[in-house]
Amino acid sequence: MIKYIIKSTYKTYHGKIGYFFLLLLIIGNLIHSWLLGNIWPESIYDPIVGFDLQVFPHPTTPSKAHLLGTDPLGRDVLSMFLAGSGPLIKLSIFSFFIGISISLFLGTTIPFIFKRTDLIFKEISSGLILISPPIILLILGTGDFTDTLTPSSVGIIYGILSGLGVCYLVVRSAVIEISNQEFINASKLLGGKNLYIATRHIMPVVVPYAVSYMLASTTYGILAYGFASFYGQVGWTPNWGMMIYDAITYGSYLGGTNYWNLIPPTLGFTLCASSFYFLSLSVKKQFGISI
Amino acid sequence: MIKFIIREIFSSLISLFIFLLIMFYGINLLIPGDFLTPLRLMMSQAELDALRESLGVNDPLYQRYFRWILGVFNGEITTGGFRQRSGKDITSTFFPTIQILIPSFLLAFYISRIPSINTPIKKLHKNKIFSDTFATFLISLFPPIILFLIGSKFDNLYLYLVSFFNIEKTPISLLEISELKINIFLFLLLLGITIFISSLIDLFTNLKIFILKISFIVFIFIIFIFNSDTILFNEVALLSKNAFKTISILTIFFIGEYVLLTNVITQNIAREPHILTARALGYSNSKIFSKHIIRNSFGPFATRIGLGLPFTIASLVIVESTTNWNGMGSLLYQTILNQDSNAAMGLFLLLALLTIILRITISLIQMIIDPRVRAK
Repeated sequence: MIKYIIKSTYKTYHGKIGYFFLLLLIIGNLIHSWLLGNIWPESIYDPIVGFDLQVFPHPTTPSKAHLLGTDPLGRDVLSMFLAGSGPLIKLSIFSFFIGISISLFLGTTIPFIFKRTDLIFKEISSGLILISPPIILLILGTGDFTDTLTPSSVGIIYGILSGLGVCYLVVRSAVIEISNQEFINASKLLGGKNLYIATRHIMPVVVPYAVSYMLASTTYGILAYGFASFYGQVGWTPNWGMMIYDAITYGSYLGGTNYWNLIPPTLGFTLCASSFYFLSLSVKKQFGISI
Repeated sequence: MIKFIIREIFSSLISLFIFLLIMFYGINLLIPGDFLTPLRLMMSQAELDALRESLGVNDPLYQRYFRWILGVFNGEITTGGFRQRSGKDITSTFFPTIQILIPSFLLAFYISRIPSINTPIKKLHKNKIFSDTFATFLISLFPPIILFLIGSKFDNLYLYLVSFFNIEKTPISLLEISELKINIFLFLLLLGITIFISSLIDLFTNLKIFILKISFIVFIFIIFIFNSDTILFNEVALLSKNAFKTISILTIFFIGEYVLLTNVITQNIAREPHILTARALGYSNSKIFSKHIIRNSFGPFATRIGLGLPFTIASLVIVESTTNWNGMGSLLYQTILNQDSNAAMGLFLLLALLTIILRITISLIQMIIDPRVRAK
């Protein structure tokens, strides 16, 4: 089903843009790893602790050695920009697949097989829906978890919250609508077991709902992570939020914010967040999901 | 309808208790220390331990949760004896949040309709590549960047206005005016300007301007004339700078999603037979839009907005703390950083209540407008 969704979303212009942006970021990240291992000296081009002693004062304008210049703390902006996509892609992948698995499994089985527990789960989901991701990241970042708050762990937390929250509710309502249809009744009459019907007949129909909602939720997850990283709540990972903070805060002490420090991370956020939203839109358009 | 309201309230209350339980355990287990921890610099460890014992901070979490819930029912949302912020401090942030939330929502709603209204009806069922792409970019814009881009412009504009109208802050005379009065006037000013902008949008998009809107603007104008107090005006004018900044960022944040929603919804409605009939009968673009498309689009729009309310609330936390607006989102950020778990719980309660109130209101409006929903 996922293969079918990928194929059909690629046919829309939303999907094409989304995949293009995503590919661009992944390639950028791979190039960064290769450059750092083979061409760039780590002491100068490391996205977190790199510093070029030969250039002074920082920030410097774009030059041959630093194609996008350096930031107020002497780090190479291009290196930081390319490295910044890694954590967000990791976060998105973890969040997407965990959210999809939870919402599909629980959203299909509970309203269809375990109907008695459906109401309880619905209320829990409605409660979870009220928990917004920036708040969770804020709480975790304030605690002793800053160093353990890796992109993958944030992705897992976010995937669980979205999968059990908004995505579960959307899948549930789709399942309830489908479970009254003729083909489900026919399947029951032919002796199909509930689990078989749920996994073979209902789940494939509701997959696009889960995929589109998880992709849209991932966009908000990226923005929430960016917000947390902007306020230094996610530990020492290369991230664009930190780049924006450094550019604005330290830049203002050093004679004004430089646009070459600010544009790359802004562009990065826009490309990353919009790629997932474009994909979500293409799924909605291709499968006629109106809500 | 009464049955529906009772069912909604009951269902929302259950969700609210589950949400608060999760947040209470989350805050107390994940954030190190407690609301007394900041006092460690002023008290000895023995004194702190004694205070913790007397306030029941060492009790099991479920006991503390029920004690807090009981306190809420008694009208005290930050019980726990000693606290960093009082219940009044917390509830006072509710109105500032409403002050910026309603104008932002209205502005975003009106602006988001422009791409669809400007499209001829016969092309409405087609994809709107440019506006979709632009809207997606708006969604993914990072709020601090928006503030960085527009902040200095607002500062310059206000600097000019302050020197031109000779606006001065007069702290001593300010004591004569209550904070509530200033807040109400600020809200009226923000709402008046929002409605004025929405009327201009209607005018430029050839839609009918409701008399209600114009009379509301006139009503606000009259109120301001009858209360022509210079100190009040100065204070409202100075406060409005940060309010406009926050509203602008929040509106940009909302517009992206609303444009996409409106595009999809109008696209679906434009394919329906009654629109084809209206076109065949020779109705004008604006008439089809105002009479048939806008009204029918409200249902799906409201459903999606209702689902996205937690994200709206989340954006409040991000935007308010970016502009330092004294609303619930900004205070929540500060309370969590200050380990003030009692105040944070009070704010969670208010934010959840706001979400629930908005959700029920949306459902009610949907019921009033759409007879199909009423029949269900």
